[in-house]
Parts: sequence; structure tokens; C-alpha cells
Amino acid sequence: MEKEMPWQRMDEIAQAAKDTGPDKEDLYEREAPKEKTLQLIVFRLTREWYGVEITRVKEVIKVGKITYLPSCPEHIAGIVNLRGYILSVTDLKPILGLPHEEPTEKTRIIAIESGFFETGFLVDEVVESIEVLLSKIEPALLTLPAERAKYLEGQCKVDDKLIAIVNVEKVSEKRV
Amino acid sequence: MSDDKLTLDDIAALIVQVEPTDLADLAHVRRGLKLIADSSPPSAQGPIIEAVRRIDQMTEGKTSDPSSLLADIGALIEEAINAVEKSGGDALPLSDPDPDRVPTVGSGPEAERFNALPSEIDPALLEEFITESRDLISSAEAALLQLEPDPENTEALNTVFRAFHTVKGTAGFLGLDHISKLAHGAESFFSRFRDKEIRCVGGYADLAFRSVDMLKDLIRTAQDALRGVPMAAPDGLNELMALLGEPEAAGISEDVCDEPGGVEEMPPRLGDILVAQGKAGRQEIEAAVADQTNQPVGVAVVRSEIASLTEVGQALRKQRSMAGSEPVTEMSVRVRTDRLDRLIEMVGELVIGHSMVAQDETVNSGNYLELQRKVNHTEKIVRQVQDLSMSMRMVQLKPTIGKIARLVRDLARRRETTINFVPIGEDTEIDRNMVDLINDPLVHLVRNAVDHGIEPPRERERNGKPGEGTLLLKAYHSGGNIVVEISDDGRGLDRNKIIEKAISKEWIQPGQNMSDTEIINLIFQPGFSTADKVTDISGRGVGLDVVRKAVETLRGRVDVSSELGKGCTFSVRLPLTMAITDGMLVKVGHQRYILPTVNIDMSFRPNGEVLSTIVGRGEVVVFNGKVLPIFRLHRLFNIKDAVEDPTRGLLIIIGEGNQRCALLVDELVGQQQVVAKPLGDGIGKVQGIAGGAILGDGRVGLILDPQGIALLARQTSDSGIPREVVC
Repeated sequence: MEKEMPWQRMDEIAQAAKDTGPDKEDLYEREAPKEKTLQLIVFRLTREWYGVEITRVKEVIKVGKITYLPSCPEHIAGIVNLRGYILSVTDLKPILGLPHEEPTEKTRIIAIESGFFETGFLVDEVVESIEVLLSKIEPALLTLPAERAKYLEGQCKVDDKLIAIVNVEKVSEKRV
Repeated sequence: MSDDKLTLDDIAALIVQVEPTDLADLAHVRRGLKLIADSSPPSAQGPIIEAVRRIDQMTEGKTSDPSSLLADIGALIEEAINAVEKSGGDALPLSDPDPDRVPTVGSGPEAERFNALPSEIDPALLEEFITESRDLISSAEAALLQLEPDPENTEALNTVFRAFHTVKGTAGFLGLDHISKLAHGAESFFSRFRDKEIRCVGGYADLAFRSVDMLKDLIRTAQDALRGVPMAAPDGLNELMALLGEPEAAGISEDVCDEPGGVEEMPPRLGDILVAQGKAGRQEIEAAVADQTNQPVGVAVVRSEIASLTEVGQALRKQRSMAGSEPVTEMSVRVRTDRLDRLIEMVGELVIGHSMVAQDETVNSGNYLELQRKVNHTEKIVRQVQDLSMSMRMVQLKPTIGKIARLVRDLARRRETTINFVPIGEDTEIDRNMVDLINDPLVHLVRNAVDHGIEPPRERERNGKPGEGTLLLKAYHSGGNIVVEISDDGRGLDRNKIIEKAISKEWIQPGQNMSDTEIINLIFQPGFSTADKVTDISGRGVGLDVVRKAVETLRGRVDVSSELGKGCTFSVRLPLTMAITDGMLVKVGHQRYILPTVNIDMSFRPNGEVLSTIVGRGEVVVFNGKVLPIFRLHRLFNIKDAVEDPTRGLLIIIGEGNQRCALLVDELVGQQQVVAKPLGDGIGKVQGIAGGAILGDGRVGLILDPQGIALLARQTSDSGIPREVVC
């Protein structure tokens, strides 16, 4: 967590008073009258920063040995053992058109839960967890090729980092 | 003598519970009485005729107090009974009681309703039948509930239909006539739904529910029979049968109507009601019943003059209204199999987790003897838990084989031959889930053997065989699998006949050169049957293809060996359990795979002489005189760092039905039991992979699927892999 600003806190309280139930759809409303925030887990892929909404993250695990699956598309890195369950591992790099890199000490798997669907995102490093104002989130850059842009929900600038937010649904769809 | 009295007693029992307003029942009693009167001694005729007259009065509505009139009628019948008794009782030759007689709810048992349980029945079989039937009934109930709001739901209808059909078949084998009769009646009734003649709504739906309830009652009586209680048909069975046969005659239609009460559950005892009402003492009743053991309680009570007929009648009516269900107790706790599976899975994880601890360097360093001792102690417990959890699922094959023995006997009888059925290894254990699943294939194979394999006695004697055919069923464990062999000493597979048939079906061309294996493969084709005529036993076009498919879904295989004129052996090889796969860990490059042992014939490192190529690219190996195609796993799965030279790797002969092939891997790592799991979400079906499993070191290993591999190999090679040929 970044250190909390007083106005952020107030905002949360106001939000809590207003919200009757956890309505996820609300979070995506760009024209929300009140300042809403989005909490993100920020991770690194090659030299770029990406984020995924924290409500989708189940846990972050260290990469053990990933079992390679034959005759599967490139973005399926394989499967791992998550305490007796088999978790599929998604390599985001082919999806986002990034070059392949060998895993390092910092490589992690972010276990993602999206409705009935569970998978792990293979990332080069998990950096931090931050909270950003929804109003600061912009649509993905128009310069990105469309087939890559659809996997991103938008982007935001925090400090000096440009963070692209991964659209979990779209990534899941690609896999099925 | 008692027979004669029973008939009058029946009427007595009937009359005490007749509702004064129920004209149909009264008419029925009247008819019965008239029949009896014709053949009664003169002393008894008077009261009977008088009773008939009173009934007429009631039906014509000429009385203001029907209850007292009923009591009068009761008294008259009592008088008649006494008169008959005095006259020696030989004057009532009513061997043919009123054929339309409907046993009324709550009436005492009649002689014909007893002894529905054949004496030679095997209690274990019956017990299994009961459990199975309960499951079927509950599924039928659920399906009926679905069907009522949605009468077009054919799937639900089929479920109901199948349930009754299965119960009918098994009850027939067991000689449980009432049950099979009812199931048959219900089945014919349901077939009218299926033929869309009527729809399962309104009165028809009620009738359907009633037949399920009745079946439940019948199953309960069967269970009581296990405890030594004589088995009697529940009340209302004949009535229901009549309704099922002709529901329209009883005014049942698609409209909702008030059926006269459903079928009753076990009511409280008549004696208890009388005692509770203060009409009689318990001891009196017990004495009376003990005196007249062959009488219904009500009749015994009345005849001992403990209570009046009316009082008994009222008590009987009360009994009817009070009818409640008796709880069914079982010796065992039924656990959902998915929970059991989960338990076994978790125990598997425990074993792996524990072995990680046991192999930890700290434990094995030798510096901490105490720790090592404790770990060893835990290991023993873990092993025990594992054995126990596995054994929970294991059951003996005995009940399955018992059913088959019965089947063989009945089939043989139907064909007017005798067959000597020799079961071996009945105590072989197998996973509970598998038992249900292998039953059908085995039954199919046995039917085939009896119907097509074993010749009629005369033909056998002509061929110098003993007239009595022998069917051998042998079950045994072999290399972590269970093998069930069904051998007959019949005519064996006739090569020419099979070819003829295949040509007539246009599967093959005349003059085509075929190997034995290829010919045997033909009999597993859908629609294949060499039987010249369709019998009621088999030959309906559902053939061995179903057997093979069923066995393959269980990760097993069917092998056939046959000698013309001497007999044929089908051997079904299956894993012991679906929960755990027994496999060999093989290494290909840096990857490790699990090959289920059931698929492995053998493995060897080939020398250069046995290897060759066909048309320059199809690699083959000569093994035991057969030429087998080689599939390189590393090529199929695109693994870079694997052994390329077969003489430095290992060839594993895997059996895919009768088509075998050799799989090239780097080396064998060892044998391992694994818990098969689905590959994570979103991965779907990976060709050549049956599933995943957690290996001893915590990594995920992939379980190979030999059929998928063969398929993959055919897809990837341009010209197709050469098929197996005999040298």
C-alpha cells in the first residue's frame, strides 16, 4: 500500500456510505460523479508496467517448475501445482506482443480468479499494490494495434510509471 | 378348511372397513357374498342372504343410519362364519374366489400374497438389488417431478422408463414376481407416454406417482423379507395393476382428479389402535392372535369376541388414516462418491506432502535422530490412512459375478441347454464405481458367449464335445489392473463368416488380404453381428462396439483370442480404480510423463537390426514377429532435448485394442501411482494427454493417452503410419 492520503480515506468513507452492495460494474463507470478508485497489483513484463485489479487476484506465488503442455498455443505456458490443484499458467507476453524472456529469481505467478475461471499470469516481477483514481485512467493508447489493445482496459500514470491495466475477461476469452 | 373360511373372512375384513357411502365397495362385497351364498351350507346361507339384502338397502339409500346397518351386516357375516364352521367347513368349495376381488387397503394378508420371495434367493444379491432399486426409484421420482410440469421432456421420461425397465429385468432374474409384474405394468403404461398417446399430466401423472410409490413399498417388503418377515404384496397392488392396464376404465384422464388416496405406507398395527382406544387389552389380543396364527389380526380379534366387528372396523379405518412411513435403517453410512474421491485425492496429497518432509535434508542429515523417528512414525500412520481410504472404495466382485451366474442359468434355460458356469476369483476387489460400470460390458460378453459362442448340445456332441457347455469367468489382479476373462468352449470366431458379414456390410472388399487382428477388429464395429437370427437374448445390433467403448472410457481394453471350434476368450483389462492411475514415469528430454500401466505391454531398448523404415520414412520395429510403427514422443510433443536415436532410448509397446505401436522415450524413471486431475481451467482437451497429476516432487506430470497419441501421430505424418502387419 502506498501511504494513504487523508482525502482518499474520506472518499472511501463516502463511497462506503453510498454503496449498497459490491457492484463491480460501477467501478468501470468513467463518468462517476464521485471520485472512485481502483486498487491494482502492479507487475512488470520485460520493461513495461502492467496492472491487474486486486479483486481478481487470489494470490501471488513463486514460480516452481512449470510443466510444459504439448501442442498448446504459445500463450499457455503450462501448468503448475497449487496445493494439489492444477493451475494453468498464462504467458501474457505473446498476447501483448512482447519478446520472450527466461524466468528469473523475480518471476512470479499471479493467481487470477475471474468468475468460474482460474489461471495464473506469468509475470517478470510483482512490484506493488497501488490505488488509483478512476478519473485518472485513460483509454488504451490509440497507437497500439487493435488486437493488442483489446486485452487492455486502459492505462494510468502513477509517479513516473505508465501502467497498462490488463482486461482479465478478454485474456480469459482468448484461452477458452 | 381354512381356505374356505378365509374367503368369508376376507369379506368380513372387507366389510369392516367399507365406507358406508362407498357404493363401489359395497357392490363388490355384495357380489362376493352372493358367490359364497351359492355354495354355502344352508345354515350359513340365511345370514349371507340377509346381509346381501342389507347391502341393497344401503346402496338404495333406504337407511338413515348406515353405520349401524354396516354393523348389522358385520354381525350377519360373523354368524355365517360360525355356521360354516359348525357345519364342518367342507361346504365352501370356493377354490375360485371372486376373480375381480380387489384387496382393500388395510385388509389382512391373503394366502396368495405370501411367498413372493423365492426360497433359493441369495441374500447378498437381494440386498444389492434393493440398494440399486432405491437409487433407480429416486432418480425416477426426480424425473417424474420434472416430467409433470414439462410432459414433453423425453429425457426425463426415458429416465423413468429405464428405471422401471431395469428393476423389472433384475426382479425377474431374482424371481420377485410382484415387483417385476408391477414394473412391467408401469413400463407398459409409461410406453404410452413415450408413444405420445397420452401425456403425463393430471390423473396420468398421479397414476405414475402411485406406481413409483408402490414400487417403493414392494422394495420395502423385499427388505423386510431379508429380515425374515414373510414377503407380502402391499395392499392395492392388484388394484394398481388394473389401473395401469386400463386407466381410462377407471376414469383417469389428463384432467386432475382426486384419486382415492395414494398407496399407503406401513400403517400402525391394528392391535395397537384397539388397545389405545381402550376397546381391548393388549394381552387379550396377543392371545387371540397367537391362537389363530393363520388369521388376520382383525378377524382373530373379532372371532375371539374381544372387540366387536364395528370396533375393529373403526380401528381399521383409523389405521388407514394414520398410515405413516417406517424409517428405513441401513447398516452402513452412504457417502457421496465425490466426497470419497476428494478424500482419496487429499490423502494422496498428504502422502506426497509427507514424502517431501521425509526426504528433506534436515530430516535425513542424521543429526536429528529424534526428528527422524517422529517422521518415520508419521509415515506409518499416513500409509495406513492411505490404505484405509483406498479400501473404502473397494468391493468384491462377488455380487456382480453372482448376478452373471444367475443370468447364465436363465439364458441357458431359455435356450434349453445347460451351461456349466465356472467363476474364479469372486473375491477379487475393485473400485465401487467401477463395479457398476463393468457390469454392463460383462453381461454383454456373457450373453454373446451363451447365445453365439456355445453351440446347442446336439451340435456339440456331433463335434465330439461334451453336451454341456462351459463358461469360465476368471477375475484376477495383474500388474495393478484387474483382468476379467470370459471364456467359452463354443464354436469360436469364424474367420470366414466375419469376412462374409463385413463384405455384405461393404466395410471391406472381397479378396482383401486381412490379418487376424484386423478381422477381430471387425467384430468391434458398430452394427456387426454374425448371428443369423435375432434372438431375445442378443443380436439386436447393439454389439461389441458398445463393450469396447465402455471399457475404453474406463481406461481399460478388451482383448480377444479365439480358436475356431474350440472356443473364444474375451479378456477385459481395467485399472483397479478410476481415482488413482497406476503408471510408469517416463522421461522425454526434460519432461516427464506418466504412461498408465494398463496400456503397457512391455518395454525394451532396440538394437539396430529390428529397426527399419517403410517407404523411407515410416519408422517400424520388428517385435515378436510383428511389425509395429514407432511413434517418437519427442517429435509429437515437440520436445527439443530428447534422445533421437532409438537404440539409445527405450521403446514401449503400448496396446491400443488390437493395434499396438511402439513409443520412443528416453528412459523409464519408475512406477508411480498418481491421482488423475483435470488440466487447469481453459486448457480443454490436449491431444495425447489424458490428464495431469501431482508427482512426488510437487511438480505436475502429464498422463499420456495412448489412443490420443496414435491419433496425433496419424495426423502429423503425411502418408499415415503403416498399420500393423503380420510377417
